[in-house]
Amino acid sequence: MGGPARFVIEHLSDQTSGARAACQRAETLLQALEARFSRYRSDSLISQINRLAGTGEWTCIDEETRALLQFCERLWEQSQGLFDPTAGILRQVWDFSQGRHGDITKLPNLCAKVGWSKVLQSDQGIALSHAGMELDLGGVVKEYGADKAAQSFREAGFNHALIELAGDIVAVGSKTSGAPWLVGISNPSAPSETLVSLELNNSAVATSGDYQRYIEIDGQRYSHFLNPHTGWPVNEAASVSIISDSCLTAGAVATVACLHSGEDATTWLNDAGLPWLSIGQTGECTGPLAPAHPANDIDRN
Amino acid sequence: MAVIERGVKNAHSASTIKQSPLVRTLGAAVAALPAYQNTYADAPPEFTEVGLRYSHYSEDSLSEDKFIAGARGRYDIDVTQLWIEAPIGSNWSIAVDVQNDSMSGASPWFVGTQVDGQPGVIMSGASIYDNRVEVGATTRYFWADGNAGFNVTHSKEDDYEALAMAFDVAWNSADNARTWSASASTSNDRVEPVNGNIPVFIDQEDIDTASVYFGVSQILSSTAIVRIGLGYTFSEGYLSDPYKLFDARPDEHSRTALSGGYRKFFPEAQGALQIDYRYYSDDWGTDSHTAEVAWHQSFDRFALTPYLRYYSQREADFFSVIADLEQDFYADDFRLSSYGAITVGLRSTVQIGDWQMEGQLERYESDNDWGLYDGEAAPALVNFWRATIGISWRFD
Repeated sequence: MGGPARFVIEHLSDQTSGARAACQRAETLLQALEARFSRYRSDSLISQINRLAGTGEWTCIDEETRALLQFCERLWEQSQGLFDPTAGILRQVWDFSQGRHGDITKLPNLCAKVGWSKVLQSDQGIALSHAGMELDLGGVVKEYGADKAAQSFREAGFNHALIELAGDIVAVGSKTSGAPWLVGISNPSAPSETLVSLELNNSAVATSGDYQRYIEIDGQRYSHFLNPHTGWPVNEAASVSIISDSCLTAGAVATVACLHSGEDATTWLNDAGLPWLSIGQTGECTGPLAPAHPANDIDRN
Repeated sequence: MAVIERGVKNAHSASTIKQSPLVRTLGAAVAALPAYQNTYADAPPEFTEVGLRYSHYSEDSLSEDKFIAGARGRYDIDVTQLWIEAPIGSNWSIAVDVQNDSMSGASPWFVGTQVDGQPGVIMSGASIYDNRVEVGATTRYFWADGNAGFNVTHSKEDDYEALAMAFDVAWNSADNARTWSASASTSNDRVEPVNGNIPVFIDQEDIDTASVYFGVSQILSSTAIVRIGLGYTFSEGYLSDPYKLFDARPDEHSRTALSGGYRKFFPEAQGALQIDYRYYSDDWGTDSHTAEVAWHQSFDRFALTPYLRYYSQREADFFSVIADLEQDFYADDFRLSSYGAITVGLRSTVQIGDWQMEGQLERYESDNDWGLYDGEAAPALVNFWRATIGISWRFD
């Protein structure tokens, strides 16, 4: 899932073993998701789909995977193709883990293999139409996993819990005292520093940002978000945080915001209508969740 | 005005987060995922839906051995329904429903004695024709934890006019596993029977009705849900049937109904078991049990639902096969007798793109011997067929 997982459950003293069991169950659920959807595991469903790219062979998929793909398709449609789960092959040029890039002249050929419309779905399952194509659900699975862990806590009867999965957070209810959960949004340029604190009650916050994953070209910093149309990284917000009732929706809106440029990002965020915070490359905060936003000048009584 | 502590934002909860069209579009896809099927917030319909449905209801003719005079052919009713439902903004929806019923045929007028001493039915004479038009409008508000609707319906036919209003609300528990629902409705009906094949003895009468309902549904697991509800209805006014010769009913009627249901989805079979039960009791001495079992089977874009319903009713205190005119209240209406009934039916739907086709066929048969309660058999008990076809279209 690309980061640490942390579960917090507030419970009665005689529920300790039940809470531990709920955490173990949530962990198992996340491991199961990773086993199915990780592109780093050769035995995952995603790797199997990718291996069969261009062969004309179908990979059978379960209802949950089909629903997750359906969500990706909706997001692809709504984002005018900016969110594209097939854009992962562009990383063959852009190596964000090492902060360097390869042969940029390969981008046109790679872009030709990118495109959700080249993903075929039928009763038999899913197939990638072109050899060399890759499907990567990393952009949604972590957030979905956080929601799924939260749901497993609710099903186990724990309605005061917090799930943090690599920076994405789901609050199950409030604290037992009735007070909301307090969570912090990190400063992208100094991740140990909390820039904004948020109160969550039965809601989720997801953050997309470049943090330490970026490339500098000619002194210009580029985020790890890749425009599937051009193949180039997008040089916009350092991070975008969204609050929604599901982490999946919050993460999706945040990711697409990071893929937009300039005013388009603001338009997208305003259209979504969810509380948002955008932190620019130089640390400036904008959006309804920004400390200086007029919306925060409210009467709490 | 107090300024909040710098950097700490007001608490954000699912119930305060608005649903923009973009988020609702994504939300529809989110709701299909297993992790959210128990939890996703209420939201208006994502699409506008327009539908047209036609039903034909046909009662069997009265059998020769129970017939004394009049016309043996009973009611045929053609029902045509047109509806539209559309979201308005991010929190509202509106629905308009127009229905036309065309009725023809004869109905039981009274029960007398045949030459062999057995009761027999005197039917209204030649076929009666009537047309009813009903128009209803519902507006509904959705918030994260529930929804509330307000409905106004007007119905008009040659001899009957009704205006009804209803308010309903449903809200979900914090964990979304439980939904409470409540409704209240009122109607004012005006009866102006028309002198035709049979004489009528009133010019104009009114009926006022008020109903309340409270129910709760509980998700038991990711594949099972149970619900229970209690309803109460009170009517006052002219509650007799003006088209029956011997029919004098009390001018007040209190009814209570307790209902429950259970749904269990079987993922391996892509099917769901549906069990429903309803107990009804009123202050006319009638009580009844209704039990229904159905199996909903999905085949990708096609679904079939066979169902079986059993009904049993105890007769009203003032019912007798041949009306006892010595009593203050009396009636020979078969609908107030003791009997049992079985309905067998099949519903199907086919989804093709944004279009959905539906079809339904059911057979209803009733018999005094099938009931759980004692009581003499009413000769006019009815059997009927009902067939329905429909088509609906969803668009952005």
